[in-house]
Amino acid sequence: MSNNGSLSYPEELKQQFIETNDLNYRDGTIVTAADIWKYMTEEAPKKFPYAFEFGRNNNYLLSEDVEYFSGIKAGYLTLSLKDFLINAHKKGTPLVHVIGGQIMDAYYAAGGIAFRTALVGQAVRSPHDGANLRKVALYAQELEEKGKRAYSYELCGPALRMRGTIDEGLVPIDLLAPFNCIRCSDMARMVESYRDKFPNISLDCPIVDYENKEWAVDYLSSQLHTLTKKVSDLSGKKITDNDVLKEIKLENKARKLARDIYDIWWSAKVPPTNSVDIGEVSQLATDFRGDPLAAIGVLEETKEEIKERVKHSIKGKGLVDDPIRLYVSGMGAGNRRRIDRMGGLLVGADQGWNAISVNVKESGDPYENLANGMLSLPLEQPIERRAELAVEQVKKSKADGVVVTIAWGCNYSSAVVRILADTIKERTGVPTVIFETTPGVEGAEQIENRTESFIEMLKLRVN
Amino acid sequence: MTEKNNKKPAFAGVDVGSLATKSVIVSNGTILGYSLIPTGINTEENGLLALQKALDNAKLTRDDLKYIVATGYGRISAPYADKTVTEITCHGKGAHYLHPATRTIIDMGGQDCKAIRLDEKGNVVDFAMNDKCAAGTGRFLEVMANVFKVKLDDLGPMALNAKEIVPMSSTCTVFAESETVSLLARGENPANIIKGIHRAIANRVAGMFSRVGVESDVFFSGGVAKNVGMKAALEEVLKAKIVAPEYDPQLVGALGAAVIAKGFGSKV
Amino acid sequence: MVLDTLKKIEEAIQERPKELEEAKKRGEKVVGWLGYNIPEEIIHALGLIPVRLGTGGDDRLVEVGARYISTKNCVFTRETVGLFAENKDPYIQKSDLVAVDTTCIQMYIAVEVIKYYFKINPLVLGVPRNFYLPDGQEYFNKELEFFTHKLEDFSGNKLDTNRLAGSIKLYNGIRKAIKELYKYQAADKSPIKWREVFDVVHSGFYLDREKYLSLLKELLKELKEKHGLPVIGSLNGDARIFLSGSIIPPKDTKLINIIEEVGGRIVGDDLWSGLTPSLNVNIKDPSIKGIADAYVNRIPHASQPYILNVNTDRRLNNLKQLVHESKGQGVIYHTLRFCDPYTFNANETGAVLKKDSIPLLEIHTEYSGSDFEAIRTRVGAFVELIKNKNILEVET
Repeated sequence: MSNNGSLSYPEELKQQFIETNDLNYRDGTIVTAADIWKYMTEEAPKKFPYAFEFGRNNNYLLSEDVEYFSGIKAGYLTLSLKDFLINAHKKGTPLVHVIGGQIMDAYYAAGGIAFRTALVGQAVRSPHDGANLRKVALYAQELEEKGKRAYSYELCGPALRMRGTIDEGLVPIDLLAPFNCIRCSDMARMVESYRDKFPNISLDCPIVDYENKEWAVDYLSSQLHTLTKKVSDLSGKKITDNDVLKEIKLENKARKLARDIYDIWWSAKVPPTNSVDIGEVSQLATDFRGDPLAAIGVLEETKEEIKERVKHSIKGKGLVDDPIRLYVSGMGAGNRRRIDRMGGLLVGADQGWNAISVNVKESGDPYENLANGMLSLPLEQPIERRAELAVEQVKKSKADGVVVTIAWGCNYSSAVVRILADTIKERTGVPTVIFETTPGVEGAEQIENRTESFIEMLKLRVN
Repeated sequence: MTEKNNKKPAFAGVDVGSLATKSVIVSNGTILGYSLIPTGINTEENGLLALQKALDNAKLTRDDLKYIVATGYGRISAPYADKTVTEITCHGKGAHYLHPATRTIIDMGGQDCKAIRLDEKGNVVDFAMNDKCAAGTGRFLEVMANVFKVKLDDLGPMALNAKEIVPMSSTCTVFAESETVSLLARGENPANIIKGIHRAIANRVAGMFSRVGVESDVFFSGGVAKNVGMKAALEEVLKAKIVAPEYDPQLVGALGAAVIAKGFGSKV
Repeated sequence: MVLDTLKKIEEAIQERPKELEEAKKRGEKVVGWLGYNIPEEIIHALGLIPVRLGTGGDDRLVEVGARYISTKNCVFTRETVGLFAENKDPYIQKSDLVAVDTTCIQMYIAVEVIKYYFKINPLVLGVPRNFYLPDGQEYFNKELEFFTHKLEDFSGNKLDTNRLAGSIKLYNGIRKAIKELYKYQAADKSPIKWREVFDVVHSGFYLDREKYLSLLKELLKELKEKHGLPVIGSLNGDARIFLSGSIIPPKDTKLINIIEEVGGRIVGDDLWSGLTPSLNVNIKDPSIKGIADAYVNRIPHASQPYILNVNTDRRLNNLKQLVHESKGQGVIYHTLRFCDPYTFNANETGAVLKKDSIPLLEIHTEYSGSDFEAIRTRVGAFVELIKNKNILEVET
């Protein structure tokens, strides 16, 4: 396995691939498997050479496991995201900037498309086609520098990218409406900084301590009404409570699929996919790459494909035998492919699990249901409760080791890392460390050194 | 002070910096002498030594001096000075003396970095300095020169010869050092890395200018101004032409202090 | 000129921990609170003793705190955790209940950390980020009702309207007196310095509130007798500095000392440990709702994002107004590392003030001593800039 070289999809897989399912989009568009193959073998390598290059600054959207077809489809959804958003916008669909790890039901119900900054940052790494890894790394750095200059070096990675996305016009934005949750120190500041430049809504998450407070639900529910009205004004779609309930049902389906996939994947003796591929599952079920229906199509195929692989003990490509199973709690899970190459495997991350964990009630007042759902997200809970959920996940995923991360600029999540680490250590007996991560090219060597040392230590322990 | 031997009254500036101590002697309209020595542990002694060397250079004695202004981090232990003034104000006056059209100064020393805006009289109207953990100082370059096993003066020409830029860390010198070592191990071209380092520092400097703005003419002072790669990187990032001083840029602070000394001393 | 009342206040502070001990022996209870929007009127009206917790400036405590919270949190929260870890602060020791509001979420999470490691069971008051919208205000109203019921259970008393009216009157009196003191410290040849007024405000965090009000009135009387009414007229060559930004809690004196050392004169602040809590509190009726509405409508803390329009931003408008009223000639904008609300809006605040020709210097710092010289240089240069400007204005 080289760290250099590039990814390509071998011709001999084509016939099998094009016999798989089409992707159905909400607007009725159908993208066939043949279309996808053509895109990923002809168009995408020209437009996005960086995604196919193995190397230092690749954040690995595409996995080297070319026989894992769901991965190719997930990759397709990501790489085609920019064009997809621009086209949707041209057709009058409002694009709404949100935060990662929140649920998106309300936005889609009202006829909008919700996208998170990190997704755009991953998918649109250069404003121009044909950029190689070096170019996208320089571009990313330029955007980060501009963000730091405008505010402070203490800005977190997503906020830096948000700035870049908005100021560079990487995708058109009709509304800034992230969920200002307890774990995020910078998003609310970013919305405030654009107050005179973009329409915005501040979706305030009330603090959930240990009491059941129906007025907190009322507050959030009222804000969701404001949000859906705003988005539906922009989209021109008149919505009823039933429309919102329908959307909840659809997205519950995606979330359940993801949870089922994880259960199957965790139960396997031999890991059926590598870290890059399993990491895409929670993301697909959270942000849908802009289209919940298409994302559900990929998730359904994913579930079947993984079941098959488990049945035949097929190992994900790029993994060593019996890799060290790492669970990550906190913001910033690290570079998935590099973890695999170090002899590890990223079996789960609470950041990814957050928005797929909830099953929103599908009958009654949809706004109240959504509010209850949002307030029950693990990362919004008082820290002891959140730590319990992490303990559950560490056990379910059969982790050999846990990394709790401090992300530079992420003050609120950093504040609780010791509580998380202490609780996990105490309750599971699994070795737990705390590492700091920094955005972009900053400090990559240092975090990798630490991760590799931890994996080595765990190898000795396991053996 | 009485004048001796019909000499015009002279005024001195002493700039006790973290790495070097400088002194400049001026009289009406002319620079009579100067000195530059490394800063040792005893800053008071250092200041006096630099002052003496500048006097020797000017063929003057202490008695010829009418007023002394001290500046720099070591100004706090300069009992020989009649007044102490911060180096921001001094750099303003020094740059204005050398190039009256100066409206913006980039000053990069060993331990800090300043962005200074002047009016047409050389008065400071706004300024910004680097924050903690913003690797935009001469120290960063020293650390890197050590990693590449070259002299500090070699870095600039190496950067100019690079064909590409490697994106480098801009917040932490130590992290950038780790990154550099690993890049060299992976076979990356040293010149490309060095160019990336210069770009990272220029980005830091640009951060300060986002607060105070840039207006021509732009004057580059401080020890790092001798680095041609840094000048090029700054011009690229700030999108402004930098004037090349016909004077040692490390002496600008001391010169400014001397000009200010003249201002005070002429009134006494 | 030494003011006698200041000595009295100092003595009262020395006595206070003992006084609290005696009160506790009599069965009275102390509520120590952290944050920005806890209405003391309610605590007081229930017969409880409110104390505002939290000190700064101690790098050692910051390091202790960082073992439980993280080094990526502001020094004020780290020190707060450190204070609870060591449990030597007399006010923390004597607090029977700790309350925190969620204006600053970083402080709220610090209290979660304190709860986990030091077994404190805090009472939390939720504060809306959408404080300017009806649903946010309704939420705060309900939160305050809940908070009050919990305090009632704790105190064994029910909130009585007449008592509440009395407490409101008391606190209105305190706020009015503080505003008056601020006018004095900014005045020409004033016998009281800003720093002394700042310390008097901090005494109000600890002292018995009735006693505090009577001391404030005494101080104002003394000032009036020795000085007459406060007038800000001639600017006599001082560099008049207005202090803004992240909180400067009791015992954090680094920046203040440096400003004075290099010849700056502080003439006002809009700090949350200074004047701002006393501004714009208009409680229309003695009820929980009356208090909720008043608190949500005062000058917002920077943590509370205001996403409408920069021109109607009350925090910025208040800052401008105060600078003008105190004839401040420059703003030193103090930001703590990792205090994102103030740090991130420094540029914007500077730009807004620049339109009014008010220069701004941001001092981004922590409690450690490693940047004394750096700050001294920056503040020194700023003072030179202002003084030079003053000279130039006189000359032209």
